[in-house]
Amino acid sequence: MKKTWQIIVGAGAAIAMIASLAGCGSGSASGKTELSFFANNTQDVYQPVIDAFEKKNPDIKVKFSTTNGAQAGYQQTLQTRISGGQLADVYVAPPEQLSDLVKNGVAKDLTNESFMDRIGDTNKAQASVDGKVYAMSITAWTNAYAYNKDLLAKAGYDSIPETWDEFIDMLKALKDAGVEKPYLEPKAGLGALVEGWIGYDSSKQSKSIDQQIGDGSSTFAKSYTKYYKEWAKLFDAGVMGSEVTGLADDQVRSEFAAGRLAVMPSGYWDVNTFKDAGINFAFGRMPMLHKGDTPYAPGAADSGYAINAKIDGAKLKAAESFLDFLSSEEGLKLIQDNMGLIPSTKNYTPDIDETFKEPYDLYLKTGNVYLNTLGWPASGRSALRAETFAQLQQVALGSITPAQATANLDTKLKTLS
Amino acid sequence: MSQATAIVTASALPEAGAAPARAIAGSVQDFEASHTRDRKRRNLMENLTSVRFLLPLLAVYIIIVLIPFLQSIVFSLTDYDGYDFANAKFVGIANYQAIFQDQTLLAGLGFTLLYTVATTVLITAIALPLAVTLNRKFFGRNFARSLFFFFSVPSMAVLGLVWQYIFSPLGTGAVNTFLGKFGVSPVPWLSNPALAKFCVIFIAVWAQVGWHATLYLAYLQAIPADLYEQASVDGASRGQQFVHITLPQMVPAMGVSIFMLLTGGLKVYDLPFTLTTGGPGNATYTVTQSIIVTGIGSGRYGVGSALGVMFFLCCVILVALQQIVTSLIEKRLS
Repeated sequence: MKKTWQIIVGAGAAIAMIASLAGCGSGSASGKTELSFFANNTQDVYQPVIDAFEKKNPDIKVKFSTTNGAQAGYQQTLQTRISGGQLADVYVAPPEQLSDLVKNGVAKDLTNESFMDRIGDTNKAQASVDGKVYAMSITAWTNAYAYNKDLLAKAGYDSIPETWDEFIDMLKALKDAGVEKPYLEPKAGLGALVEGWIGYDSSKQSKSIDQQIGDGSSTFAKSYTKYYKEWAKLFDAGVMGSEVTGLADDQVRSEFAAGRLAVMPSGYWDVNTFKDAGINFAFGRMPMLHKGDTPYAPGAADSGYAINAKIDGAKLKAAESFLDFLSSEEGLKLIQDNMGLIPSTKNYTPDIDETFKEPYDLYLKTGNVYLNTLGWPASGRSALRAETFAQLQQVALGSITPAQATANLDTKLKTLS
Repeated sequence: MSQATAIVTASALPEAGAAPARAIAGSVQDFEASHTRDRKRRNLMENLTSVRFLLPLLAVYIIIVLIPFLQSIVFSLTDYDGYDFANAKFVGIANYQAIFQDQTLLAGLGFTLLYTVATTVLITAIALPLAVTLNRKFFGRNFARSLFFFFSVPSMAVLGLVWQYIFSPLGTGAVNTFLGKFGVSPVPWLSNPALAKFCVIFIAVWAQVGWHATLYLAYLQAIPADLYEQASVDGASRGQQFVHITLPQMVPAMGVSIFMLLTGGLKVYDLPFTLTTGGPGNATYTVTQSIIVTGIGSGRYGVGSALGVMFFLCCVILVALQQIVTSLIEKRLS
């Protein structure tokens, strides 16, 4: 009798397990095509987009998944899912990983898809490998200087000056006017505006400075030293102290939101935080090295949406419909409203907050944004980027010179190649 | 025939001739041999029963530890990028050579060892007397025990994020605000390499000391009270009782505690990462952070695996040394 019960309980457990596993499958439950979607943002911000898509496409059910942690955590999970054969039908493809995704045959060629006509050239270029576009990037980001208007007014300024030297003069004037913290950068964002300078100088060459470093035709020592020396003037002039080597992004943001900090590198994502803080602020340009230099800022097209190259039939059609919806006016508006990202497609003019007008016009409208990592060898990019911050921290502490920092970056690059 | 009867029979005939004596001795030997066989069979059956109970644990260990470790060894000899192992190429020991050329990793190794040794020594030195104190009767003892234990409940990652604000190098940081009331200028807690190292170690000690004190407390309560009573009668002071009774009795507990501190210290990642991100510069960079950032996070699974394998071997050597030293101390004191 006891054995019979054991068999019944065992069989029941097995059936329950099989039933629950069946639920994990990608079959078409209740006649709907199930489309799996893996993204690098939370479900609450994507849900309105998914709901609107499902309303328009009642025969498709989107199964959303995401991962905890920052971008690096997403990239790692994406890699793990690919190696484990669990890649979603549609997924966010970070530009740093795109060449690897193409090499491993998991990103479908989207070059000739009709919805790609809406995508801007800068976004297409960043999502291309060997002339073919493999991801649909529909938004872009840029850094900008957030400044406290009231504090700047104390030194007689109402906006960020055009050149770096003028900017340092402004910070000195702020300090003289009694502003204790004129300028701070977070430890994992030191030297952010250096990328803008490199971006401008790269725009005058056939190959970007970082691509030259990546292919070995230049080095960090040759190319970066002069930029790092300029950045180090912040410490020489005494307008930023070595305490920045111990400040996280949130801590710098808190100082600004509390009205104690005059200027900080920031972006569109901080608009609501600063508004909620009730301070009188705006976003402005990032100063260039020389008068007359075209304004450039650190920034790039956001990660694009890719279709798993291994799907076909109804799933493929559903995936294409999803990307078509995301790049439609309705989809873009939902993305901007819910995720705080700035659409950069040809078919949609985003409604930009008044405080961010200047950087939007200077950088995103023109496409004058630059991200150094995109020029580096795909393997080891994140390690090298982390190393740039570690080296600049040592420059800030005065333990090494800018020239030593760039030489150390060359050594690091060698170990990564 | 029982063993006792056989021995009695043999010893009851001492005056008998040599041959019968040999016969008796032979039968005793036969009996002992058969008894040994029985005992071995019984032991084997007991062992098999134990193995059946251990099988699930063994299976889990093989699946989540042994197989991944063996995989790591294989990965470490290739240029596997984390996508499709079929595309990976054999690179021999190139990944191992790359490790020793990376200055960041060597810096990470230095701080990891400092963290491990410092936390092990400090926690052991504080937890043991703390446990002795918590073992005495005083008002609010249970509350005090819970309080110290509570420090170890939140995850180290959360503690790192919270202490980041407490040890902020700005004048608005919690500690600096307090010091500011006494006219002290802001201290660069997390923006000075030496102070940042101190902060990481301080928080680790603060967070773990209660847990290890609880472990010692459990062992303390198992020491027979007679020993102390007898020592008191003999006129031993509290200090003498601690040195000559408590300390020797606590050696097994110290072995367990130190083992856990060493293994936990060597693989530390969450606290330094959330508190300092390995900085300033590479002052608080750890080996595990290097494995994640330089290896796995950069799609260089081969290098990451080589780092993992090397680190595993270092840990094995260090822990083996600790075990040898502990057992030598135990033997000497027993």
